[in-house]
Amino acid sequence: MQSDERVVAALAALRPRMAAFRFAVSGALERASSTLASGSGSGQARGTLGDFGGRLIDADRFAMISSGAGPLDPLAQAAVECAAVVLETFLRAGDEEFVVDVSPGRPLAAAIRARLATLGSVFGAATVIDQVRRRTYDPAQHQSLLDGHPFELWSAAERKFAPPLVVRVDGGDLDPFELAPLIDGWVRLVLLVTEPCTAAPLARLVSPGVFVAQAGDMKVLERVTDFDGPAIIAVMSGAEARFIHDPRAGSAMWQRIEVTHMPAAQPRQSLGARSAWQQRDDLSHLKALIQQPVLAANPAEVLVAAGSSGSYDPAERLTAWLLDQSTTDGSP
Amino acid sequence: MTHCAILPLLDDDEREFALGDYEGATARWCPGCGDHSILTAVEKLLVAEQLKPEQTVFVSGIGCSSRFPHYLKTYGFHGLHGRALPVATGVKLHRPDLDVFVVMGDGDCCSIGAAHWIHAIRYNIHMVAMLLDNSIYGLTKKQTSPTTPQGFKTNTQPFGSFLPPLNPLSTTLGTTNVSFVAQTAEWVPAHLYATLRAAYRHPGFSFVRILQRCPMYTQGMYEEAVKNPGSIELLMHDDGIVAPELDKIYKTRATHDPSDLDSARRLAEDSTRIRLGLFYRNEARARYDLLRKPPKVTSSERIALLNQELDHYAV
Amino acid sequence: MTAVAIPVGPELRIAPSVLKRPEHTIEIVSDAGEGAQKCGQIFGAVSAKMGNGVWTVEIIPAEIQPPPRTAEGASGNRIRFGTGPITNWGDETNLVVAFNEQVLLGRHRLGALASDAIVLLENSWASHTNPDIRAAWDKARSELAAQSYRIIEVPMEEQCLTIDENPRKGKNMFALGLLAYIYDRSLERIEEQIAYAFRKKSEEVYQRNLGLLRLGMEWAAANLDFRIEVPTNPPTEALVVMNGNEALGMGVLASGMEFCAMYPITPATSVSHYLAEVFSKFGGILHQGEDEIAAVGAAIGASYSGKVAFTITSGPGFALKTEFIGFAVMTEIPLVIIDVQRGGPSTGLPTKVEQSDLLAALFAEPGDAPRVVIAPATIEECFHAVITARQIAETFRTVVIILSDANLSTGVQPFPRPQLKKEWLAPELDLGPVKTGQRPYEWDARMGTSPRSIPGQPGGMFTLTGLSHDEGSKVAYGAGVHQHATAMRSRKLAVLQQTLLRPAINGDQDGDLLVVGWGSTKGAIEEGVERARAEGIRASSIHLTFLSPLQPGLKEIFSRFRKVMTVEINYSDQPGDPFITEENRRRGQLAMLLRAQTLCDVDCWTRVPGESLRPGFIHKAIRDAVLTLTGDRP
Repeated sequence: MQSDERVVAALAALRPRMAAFRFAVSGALERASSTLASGSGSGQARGTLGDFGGRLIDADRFAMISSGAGPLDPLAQAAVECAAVVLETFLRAGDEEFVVDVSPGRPLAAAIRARLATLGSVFGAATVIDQVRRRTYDPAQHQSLLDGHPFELWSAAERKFAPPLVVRVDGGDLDPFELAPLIDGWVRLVLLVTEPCTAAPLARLVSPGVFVAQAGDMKVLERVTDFDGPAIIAVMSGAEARFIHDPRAGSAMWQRIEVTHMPAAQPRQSLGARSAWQQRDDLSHLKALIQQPVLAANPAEVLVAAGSSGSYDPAERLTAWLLDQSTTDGSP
Repeated sequence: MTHCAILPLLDDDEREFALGDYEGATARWCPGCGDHSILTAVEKLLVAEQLKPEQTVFVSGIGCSSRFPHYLKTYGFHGLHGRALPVATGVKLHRPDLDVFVVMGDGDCCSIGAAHWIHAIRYNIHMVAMLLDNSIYGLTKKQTSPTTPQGFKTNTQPFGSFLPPLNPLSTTLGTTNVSFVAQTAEWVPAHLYATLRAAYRHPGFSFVRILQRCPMYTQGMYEEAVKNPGSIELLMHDDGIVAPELDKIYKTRATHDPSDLDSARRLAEDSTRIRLGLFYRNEARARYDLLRKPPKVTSSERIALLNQELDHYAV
Repeated sequence: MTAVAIPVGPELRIAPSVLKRPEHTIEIVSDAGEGAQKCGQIFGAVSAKMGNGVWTVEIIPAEIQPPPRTAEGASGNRIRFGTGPITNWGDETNLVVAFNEQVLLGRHRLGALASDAIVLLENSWASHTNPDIRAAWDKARSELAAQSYRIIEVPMEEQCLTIDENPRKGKNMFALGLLAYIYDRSLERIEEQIAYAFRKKSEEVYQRNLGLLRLGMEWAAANLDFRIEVPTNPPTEALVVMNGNEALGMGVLASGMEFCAMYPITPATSVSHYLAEVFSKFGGILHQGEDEIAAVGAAIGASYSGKVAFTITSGPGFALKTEFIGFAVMTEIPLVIIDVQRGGPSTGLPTKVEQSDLLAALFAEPGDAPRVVIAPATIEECFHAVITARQIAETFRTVVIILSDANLSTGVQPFPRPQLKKEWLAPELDLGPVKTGQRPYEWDARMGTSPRSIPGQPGGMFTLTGLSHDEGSKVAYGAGVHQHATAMRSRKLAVLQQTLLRPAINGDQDGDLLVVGWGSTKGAIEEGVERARAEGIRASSIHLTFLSPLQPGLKEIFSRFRKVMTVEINYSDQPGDPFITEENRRRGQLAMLLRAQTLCDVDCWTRVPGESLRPGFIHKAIRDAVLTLTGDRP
């Protein structure tokens, strides 16, 4: 991996999430070791009792009490050993596991999917270990989990624990529609975009639960550290639009989105697969998102009135106001 | 539901919990006991907030009210008399991922466990502490409690309780680092529920005193308040306990800003009338549980760190 | 390793005579706050590093700041060191450095000093401006003259004033210099230790201390006519040197436990002091509760919801925790309790050693509350016992009490560096679903053991209660249920006992007298036995590590000896005292236990002197017991 200051900075910002992921992997590896050791009976007991207990306690007899589920069958043992190799391989690899380089002209999503499938094999490995520990391991059903575990097959819980990725991509290859299916759980995609790029490629991905940003630097990454949901962030250096859509900032779209820069000129040329019209429409979409609804002559008054219904959540107030309007005179 | 093999603390959210998912054994309190309606309000809260039963722990002490956990299908800890708060402290410090509720009676909280009460307020660890205050020891059959009204006759003070009762609200509001104090009553279910919901959502130690009737030993104690809602003053504020259902019945109201501690203390100290509502809330108070969050350490890191420690003592 | 170079100067008049000794015991005593303990600790650590066997104990006044210049206020260290291993604090002191004559008098009156002890005594008091002090000096000197000590007056203050305007703060390093010269300690090692001891202070402080050290060495070289050689035996394996409380704290780290709740109490608190510094690095929380009860309650709450947790206390705190301990037994929440025993009952002797909590550890509880009690005998065992305790607590869902004492807590001894293993660590929580249908107390009908479910595990929800309950944790007052559940909780002890090994016999496998000990007295007992055996007395000893359940084979071992006698630091009535008869005599705690468990006529020799038992006294007790036995009364 060639060194790139932006990659280093992005990885630094994602460090807590990467550390949590690594910690979980090493926890799974420990479970693998203890599962393998528990198959060995007295040796395990002698180990866990320590030197003091080892001198005073008959490890064989102690093992009879503490071993619980009994020895592993050879297939299950082999599966745990394989799973442990998968986990160790991941732990030995460095930060490059979290970095994807998309060669120019290659499909962006395919590259990300391939990496997620590789990283997903640690989920598969953990599942295998878990099944063996519960004595519910079935080779026919579970063995394939170790050979890569595509994102499509990740459970909701696994998606919630998705590893973050830093993706280096040419602006021309950034097709937002390709990425949409990957936005779920706790996915973090940080796209380091090489110029030129279309003006508002990520605008199309803005939806109520997704943190979406086009930013000029890495500072925005701090904001997603505690965000409970998926996030996709493009870091750009050209004249593209700059905006942040933070689902926590309010319940109406205009409250959540903050646009700090709009390109002065309308796009006139196609880029990659995106035509000029498509690019202009991206921008129109972004502009539409920030439109505030016109509620009444004095919206503040309405909001205060709605407050008496007991809620200070703006969405609930707005709903209350709308209901109120529709029941009184039938038109908002 | 699938749990995540790599991080067993995680599971997906696809389950939906109904009342039946939280119901435990059939409650065996006396008919007419206020505990029943508190249980109902708590179950309603659990459903509304969709708390996962396995991630929820109810800790209690000893007394009538402390049987509470048995009647729920969450994790429950029916502990020792007066000692619910230390146990809850240990649970929440070691397992911040759990939702912790504490159920105490007036003897539990304000008498034998008073030291823990004061310190739990100061620790301000994220949990909901409910004081089910019926002003009497019920389980042991009518002995004076710290909140028994002066002059009230009991089996241990048959000529009337000697001293004025301890005021749990003033005590709580007078304690350093207090962050949430509310009072409600079991016979006003809408207020009770709204109060518990606000308490649950407060990021810190939420203390809720619930006035409670005991049909066996304190008959009539709240008769006037129940019959005449106007005798109760509701503390009103947009940031307070909001229960619009009560608008038509409880018309005695006072505006009180829950961020105003001095006003809260004055209102709590004045015993001329019963006040229900949020006395105080401050989300900015120091939280011991947040200050005491250790890093996650793998076993290899532990071994390496301990070897460094041993190096200091190496010969 | 560079030995101290003897400074050569015009003032060096005669070459000192070198006395060669297999072992020596020294003390450094001062008023509290004058740093004698730091001097002693450094000397002990340096000696251990150079390859001497070492046992260091603190001499602690009961008060934090006792009045200066009082016999009761003596504070400092005793260091016994030798060419071979040293397992206890020994008998009498051979050389003492005293910062004033009153603290020296304190040690003299306690009989701590050998009759031919060498005394290096600060002499500024002799010419003090205060006539009362001068009078006290004269009076003390005449009292001390009753013994044949060799008292050498040292102008410590006068010397220290040449470097530091506050001699009270510098005397300890000057004293270290005296000792470094006398015993030819490695200067390099000392500098290393001083650097570590003052790591939180400035470079200037470090340099000043080095200056004082050199000053002491130079004064000694110029003025003393002797040196003492205690040959060293450079260690063949890696060693660590620490006190028992530090060892307990490190044992905690090695056990993977992550939650400690405690309340300050002497002499247990220093475990928490150690952990407070490092525990969070290891993912741990040290919670100082609002009281002893809250501490054990929080530990139980943590243990109930995750990894085995622990609390640290001493006798009075243990008493307060009793109700909760019974609760943990009843609800089968694993828990480790470290009790660093002190003199009792009540507030008793807060800083002094006693082994009086044994029966409380075993039995203090209304109702039947069986628990595991183990007693490490050495500082090394303090480390390793914690690891075993956690594992037993988890395996058996039970309370494990570790009985240490003030002798181990303040004693410093080198031991082989533990080779750390991952298997010692508590495994990460497995919060996967509970097996369908598994009940909260699914007791194995033979063993009483059962798997536990912890909050977070789907399908495992139950309400734990201290009320009598059945396998489903349902409150059940029925006679049959209570009988069965009580039997299940008790059975776990029997099962654990079946896994224990017989205690090893120190000495011949049979003979006239078997001494039985437990806890910190092991070294002193074995030394006493050894001395007796050297005289031809047929004595052996065993040392019990498990007190509940007791290790197997005791009755059979006892049957091979004509007499069995415990040696303990707790109270027993002395035969021959007024009103004391064989029938009403109250015996030592282990003796009571062994008599009940084995139906053997176990005698005891116990004392509560507020200090560790001296091997010489044990030796004499053994000799007396055997002579009585052979009809040849002493």
